Amino acid sequence: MKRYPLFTKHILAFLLLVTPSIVLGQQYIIKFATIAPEGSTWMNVMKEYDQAIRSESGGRMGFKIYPGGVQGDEIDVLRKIRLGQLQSAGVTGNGLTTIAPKVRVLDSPFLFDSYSEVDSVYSLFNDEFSAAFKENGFVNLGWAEVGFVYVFTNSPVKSPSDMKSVKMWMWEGDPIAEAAFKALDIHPIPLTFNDVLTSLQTGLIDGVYSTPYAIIALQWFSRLKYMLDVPLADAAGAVVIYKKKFDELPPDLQDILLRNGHKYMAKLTKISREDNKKALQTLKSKGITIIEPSSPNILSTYDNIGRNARRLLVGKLFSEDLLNRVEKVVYDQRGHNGHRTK
Amino acid sequence: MKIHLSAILLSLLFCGCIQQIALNSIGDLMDTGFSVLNEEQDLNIAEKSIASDLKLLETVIAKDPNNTHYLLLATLGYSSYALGFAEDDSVDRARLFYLRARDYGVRILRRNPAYARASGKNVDELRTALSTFSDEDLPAIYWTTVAWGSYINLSLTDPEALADLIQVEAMMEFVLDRSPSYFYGGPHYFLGTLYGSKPKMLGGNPDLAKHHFEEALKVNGGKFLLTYIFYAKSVAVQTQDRALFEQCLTIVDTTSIDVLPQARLANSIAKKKAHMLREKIDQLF
Repeated sequence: MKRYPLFTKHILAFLLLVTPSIVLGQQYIIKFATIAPEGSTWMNVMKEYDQAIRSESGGRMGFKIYPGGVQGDEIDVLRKIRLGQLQSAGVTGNGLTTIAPKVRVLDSPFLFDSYSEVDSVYSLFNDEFSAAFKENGFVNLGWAEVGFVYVFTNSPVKSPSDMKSVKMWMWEGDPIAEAAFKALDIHPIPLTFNDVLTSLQTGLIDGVYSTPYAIIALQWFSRLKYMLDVPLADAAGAVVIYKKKFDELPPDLQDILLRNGHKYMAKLTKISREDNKKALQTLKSKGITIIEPSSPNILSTYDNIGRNARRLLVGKLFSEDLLNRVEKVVYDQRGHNGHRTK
Repeated sequence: MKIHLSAILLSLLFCGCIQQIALNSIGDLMDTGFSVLNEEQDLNIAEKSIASDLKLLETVIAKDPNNTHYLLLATLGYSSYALGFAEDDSVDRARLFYLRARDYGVRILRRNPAYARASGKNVDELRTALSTFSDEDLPAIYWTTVAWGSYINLSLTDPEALADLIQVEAMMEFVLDRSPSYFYGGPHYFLGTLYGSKPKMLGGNPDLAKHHFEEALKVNGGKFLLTYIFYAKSVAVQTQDRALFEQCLTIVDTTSIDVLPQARLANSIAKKKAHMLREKIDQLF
């Protein structure tokens, strides 16, 4: 019996020694959710990001990652963030509309034609867009571009007027697609994401829009024959953290999180661009015909449609002033009165 | 047995018709060897034996390249090896072995001219081509599809690999239609895994996946324990149903590997995987 107090003392001493490191090791866990599945480029880079912040913070901070949409779609995830169940997410399209609508000027219709144009705008407007996230309670940890989105069809679209005979899908509730197709004077069929493949099979739709990589991952390509080589948009994406959670972090951890966020999301964007390039080759090898616009006039027509479509979004997602400033950067870089010449 | 087989191989391999007799003998031994291995419960012995048997089998195939039986053994052998002994430790090794398994299987299937023409093309053409196969071809289609699907699952950064997923789905649907109970309900738990691993938004269907797993469990009476592993890893994780996840693992833990002697090895692998999944539970939920 007398040995117990001594034994207890030893246990207490041991606990005192180890407890600080245990507590420190679990001090700041950031619950992060993404639709990207385990094993995808997205998740691979996200894991590198996690390793980097764990290492630099001496184990004081790390992500708990929920991949593959197990926490629901982006809207579900953002709701869970506001409820405090999660703190961070990968957001694109509809998710961005919810938390920073003006940022969607980045994926507005027929705006960009090259990555150098994209990079210029992201670089020049980064502070303004980051402020937009903060106004709505989020901090942008890094841009994670999804990539150029193209129109895929079952009949060749050689000019914008050919688009009118396409039974085009539109992601239900997507204001960008709605504006683009309105300016093209076509009437898309709104469907949820998971109804698209079946609807292509039954013929309810015979045209969709997607990045080259995503159209393969979703297997939609198997029901389509043509791709129009004029980017409909450059789909934006970002990794964000709830500002309340970010503000709880000590300044050194905030710095580690932001610095590595920018670094690894830049890496992710670079690899995503390579993945999309490889996907384009795969699509060609699988029999998808790439349609190049046959004349500068046709390209100019798409440019004009784009200008009109973007103005349909003014007041809904972003201001005319912001749009004009973004367009000016693109047009100045492009020359030729802002018309693409490819 | 390995020394015995190697001796036969070395002494007789280069001697005309004797060579053929030797190859047949080796083939019979390999066949028996694989059956015996399926009953092995020690994972270390099984891993080493399968690895050396597979290399021997490849030597035999090099000498008898059109032998369907050997090609099929190589397909299921490499696929099983990847599942049991590679994919939990090294994705790269698992991809290599699944791809090798698939390629042996495809060599069998491409002997059917209709399949050779349709493979890689429109999925409707593939379905038509598949209908020209007989029931005897089902094992080759099944094991090729298992290897191919598993390879794609580990190759999500490769668009070329991903593009074949719809073909894989069509091939397993064909096997399901012809022989839903094949290999302890394999077509059911394969499709259950496929539909249960993706979010709804990306084409997943947890209800359909559950249906397939329940059908597989009816077929194998819950005795082929890998079914529970696939159920836990796909549907339970995707729907964040921790209770289902733990229930599946508990069944695997508490069921004797002797419940199905001819699948003792697969059940031992299931127990190993259950242990690894349990250790990851707080990361997954």
